[in-house]
Amino acid sequence: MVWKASKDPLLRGDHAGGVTPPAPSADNSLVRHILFLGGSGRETPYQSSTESQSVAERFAGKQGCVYEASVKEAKKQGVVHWSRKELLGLLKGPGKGKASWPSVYEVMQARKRVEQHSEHLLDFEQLDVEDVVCVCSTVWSKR
Amino acid sequence: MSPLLSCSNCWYNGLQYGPIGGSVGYCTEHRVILRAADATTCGRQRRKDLLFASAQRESNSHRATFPEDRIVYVRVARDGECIPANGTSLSKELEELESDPVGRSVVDFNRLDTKIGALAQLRNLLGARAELAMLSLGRSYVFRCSQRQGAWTSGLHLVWWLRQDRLEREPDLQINDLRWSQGEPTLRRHRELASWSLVMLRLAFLSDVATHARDPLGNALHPFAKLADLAEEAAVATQTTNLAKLMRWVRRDACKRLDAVLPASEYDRLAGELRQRARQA
Repeated sequence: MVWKASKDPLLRGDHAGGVTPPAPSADNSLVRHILFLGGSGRETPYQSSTESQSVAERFAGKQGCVYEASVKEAKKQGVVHWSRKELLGLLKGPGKGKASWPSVYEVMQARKRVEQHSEHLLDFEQLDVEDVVCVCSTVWSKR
Repeated sequence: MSPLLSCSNCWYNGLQYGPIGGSVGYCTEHRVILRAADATTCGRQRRKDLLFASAQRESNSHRATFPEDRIVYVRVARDGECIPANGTSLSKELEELESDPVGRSVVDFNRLDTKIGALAQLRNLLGARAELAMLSLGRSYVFRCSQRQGAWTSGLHLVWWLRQDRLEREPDLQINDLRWSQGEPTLRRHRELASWSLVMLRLAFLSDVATHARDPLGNALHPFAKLADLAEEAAVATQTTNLAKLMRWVRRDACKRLDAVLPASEYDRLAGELRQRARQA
């Protein structure tokens, strides 16, 4: 079954206390975000999500929780949606746009992860930092 | 914590890499079975998915956050809080790995007098899991040797075995070599991506060895140093995660370049030097 933005939710595994809020002004490289470069706790303007319930459950782990968001609601709140297909279009060769990156090897590793996890991103870069927590709680709900 | 920062993506765990591997890993540093490798980590973690320079850089920031002397469990439920890993995530019951030839060999990596002996056992085992263990522990082995001022040729036999046995062939990856399969829409593509990862790991290993074939000032100690960017060049040449395209490049370009810097006569000469050095030691 093909995932459709108009009717299927985005899913995210995160801790039970709520989704981790992004930092709109953080480095906006897509490769840095997808490969988790910069170490544990690094800030990012993106939130990773997936089409797959089982992938979200794996990321939630035993003690976490799966959340869902509608693309339509996210866009209404000013959040940009990068679909899996769009990400794969950007993650080719040295990368295009925000996926441009000095190492093509790392662009390929990021591409692999997007495919393996059926990954989509929500991009909070255009939001004011003081709105982020409120928008997150509007966009995401426990599944 | 992302699994990329966990024990499942660490050089020192030869039993798992992304979807490849079984339900448990094994850490050759802490000598324990990893029962929840996607959720545990320590300050010694070195990322399998990155090339040497990036792995080194990420390792530095990782070490600043996590302890090196013990493995911790990172709790998703408490926003990344670290707690000591206990029996539900680590185990010392090494006999449980004995029935699996690959598992036995990675434990032997710590038990045998020479680590290269355990890697030789893995060479003789068929299948993608054995190859993963040989490459992953091989990266850790050449890194550790270089840290101890050893010669870049510590990985010479591994390079030769890889060239002789596997480099021109697609990995022998079966569906039951995968520990998870959800996510990617088709199972065939999922397996193909896992195979692509293994081929890139082969090239990353060769690039690592070539990186060590330079002195601290960056001067080449041997023509093998020309291969330091081999994995990066493979990505540049293929542009996407296409296994067939990558294998064509490996057969056409990588093998030719490897054979040029390490013909059989040169391998024999360097192996002779290694034997002589071992006798003197």
